Amino acid sequence: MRKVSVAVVKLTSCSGCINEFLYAVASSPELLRRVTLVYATEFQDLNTLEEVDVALVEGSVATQQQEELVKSVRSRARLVVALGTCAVFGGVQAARVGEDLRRVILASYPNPDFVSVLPEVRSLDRVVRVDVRLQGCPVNGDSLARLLVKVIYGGGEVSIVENACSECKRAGVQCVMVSKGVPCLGPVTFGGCGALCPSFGRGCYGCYGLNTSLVDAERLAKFLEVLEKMGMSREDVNSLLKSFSYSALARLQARG
Amino acid sequence: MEQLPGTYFRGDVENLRALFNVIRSRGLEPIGYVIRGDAIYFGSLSSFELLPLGLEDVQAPGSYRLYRNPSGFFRHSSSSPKYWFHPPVQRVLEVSEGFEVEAVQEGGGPVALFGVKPCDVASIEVLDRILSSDDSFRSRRSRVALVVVEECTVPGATCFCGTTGTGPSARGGYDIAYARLGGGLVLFKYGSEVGLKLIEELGLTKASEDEVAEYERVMGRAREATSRLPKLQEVSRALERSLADEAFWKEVSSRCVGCANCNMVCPTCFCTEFVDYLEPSGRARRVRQWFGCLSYTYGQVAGAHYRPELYMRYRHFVLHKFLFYPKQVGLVGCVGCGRCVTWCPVGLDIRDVVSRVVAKYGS
Repeated sequence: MRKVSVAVVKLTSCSGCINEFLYAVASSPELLRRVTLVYATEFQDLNTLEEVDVALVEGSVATQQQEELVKSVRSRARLVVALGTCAVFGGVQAARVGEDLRRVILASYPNPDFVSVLPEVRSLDRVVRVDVRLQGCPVNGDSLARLLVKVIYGGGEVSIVENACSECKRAGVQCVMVSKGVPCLGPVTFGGCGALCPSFGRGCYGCYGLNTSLVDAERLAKFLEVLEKMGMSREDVNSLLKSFSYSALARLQARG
Repeated sequence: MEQLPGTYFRGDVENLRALFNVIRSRGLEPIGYVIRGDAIYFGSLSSFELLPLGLEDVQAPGSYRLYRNPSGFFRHSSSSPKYWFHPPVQRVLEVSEGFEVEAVQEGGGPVALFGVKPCDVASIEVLDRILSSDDSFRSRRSRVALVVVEECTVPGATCFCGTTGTGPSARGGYDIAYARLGGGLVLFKYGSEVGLKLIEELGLTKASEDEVAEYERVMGRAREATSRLPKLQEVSRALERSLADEAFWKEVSSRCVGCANCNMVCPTCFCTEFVDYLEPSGRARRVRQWFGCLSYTYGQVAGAHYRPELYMRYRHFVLHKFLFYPKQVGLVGCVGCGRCVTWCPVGLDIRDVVSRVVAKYGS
């Protein structure tokens, strides 16, 4: 039987994507039989970091130890998957970048000396080469299962880069922005969620990340003006973008 | 069949209901604009009450609102006949664990387009040419046994079907066309033998001269309101000359974000992408789903990209409708429904773009 060996690696993150991995594998007995967990510190005791087919890396790199860990994972994995928005873009913890680090730490920890983090929060691709990006907060478990099955059969991901709007239209979800005046980040956000929020009548808040192969800084600025007219404050939109698209924003700024 | 000059019949909404019921009693499934929740979709009409007769849509670039209004006039929503004729996600084939390919069979009985607008009927004729060798489309298309068109007495603010020659009146290709005028009056005309028989069956009487004059006045006004763009030939010529003007296309598309909403709502955009779904057992399903040329991977091929920049993809969208379709299939690809204008989240207006191209490159 064809099988796939997997390492599940956790960096700075909430474990939501690892949960999605568990749901995806546990809900398919056939898939469960074909997945060999080699390394998964969150849910098994004996873990040795050895050669694996796939490393699923959740979270962004926020400490020195994490940087060393992912480099070591990279050297042992055939395929490195950036699992979820933190790994792909930086994630919510990137909201602290540029703030007074000590003040941020004190907000949660009584003794800041026990916390040792880097000032910058890096997406996985800024530290190691990434083969597959599966964004989402959390990642879409179905997409993850599809990827694993393809790898089991010797294939890989064919990525289709489009924005959330295409998913709304295919699903027959009426545009919340055009028909209700609800501010929505869908037009500039990667698809992949299956139009989840708009199908409940609310706007997309961009958790699949800013699609920089479609928008540049100038287009984004013009789009944000439209959202502002619909009542979304600049402060709100900036904090969403920083939380879910941090590395993409940095890329836009670098391009000028 | 030639429409005999001046052969209009008069009736009201009750006659429309009777027509709907006659069609159903003949075993035809009416399809058209259907109320579902707080929106209108294109699909099967299981009852006359689901027609958006008491609703009015107010459209503007980037804005659409639906209101309850008993005397209002409904044009259309983001959902076009494409949803039924060329569905957004289509199963193409299944592959068994033993690698046997199973083709997907489609079934279904005869249908009647009911209350469909002239622009949307024209869009089906464009798809006819584009998808003439597509089995799934042909199978669905061949189920259409009757066409009942609703003419647009009050076009919307983003409509330009007069310019594209696809509305607001019914052109050919219908069995019955009707127009809802003021005071509950509905004027019927027929476009085929079958249509005439149905009208006779409904027992409709001839419309008076005054009623026909009122109809012509209303439709004349509607035609004028939707015919404010340059002539199509001029548009094609100007577009051909504008091809290399990178600065112009960058400028007109500077607000575009590549969301591909225009592709999705366009009743004649037909492009798809294949996606394979593999099960752990080895069973596989291949689907094709709508894919817009504004999306990044659209022009991407192994090792290269035909249209890597967004302005190139926007330019392609406009050129395809007005310049390439005529060369490919002998028909302009745009039917003037204005959906791409209304449903663009930033309100990018193809009418402005077309006017600007003609202003700069027209003869």
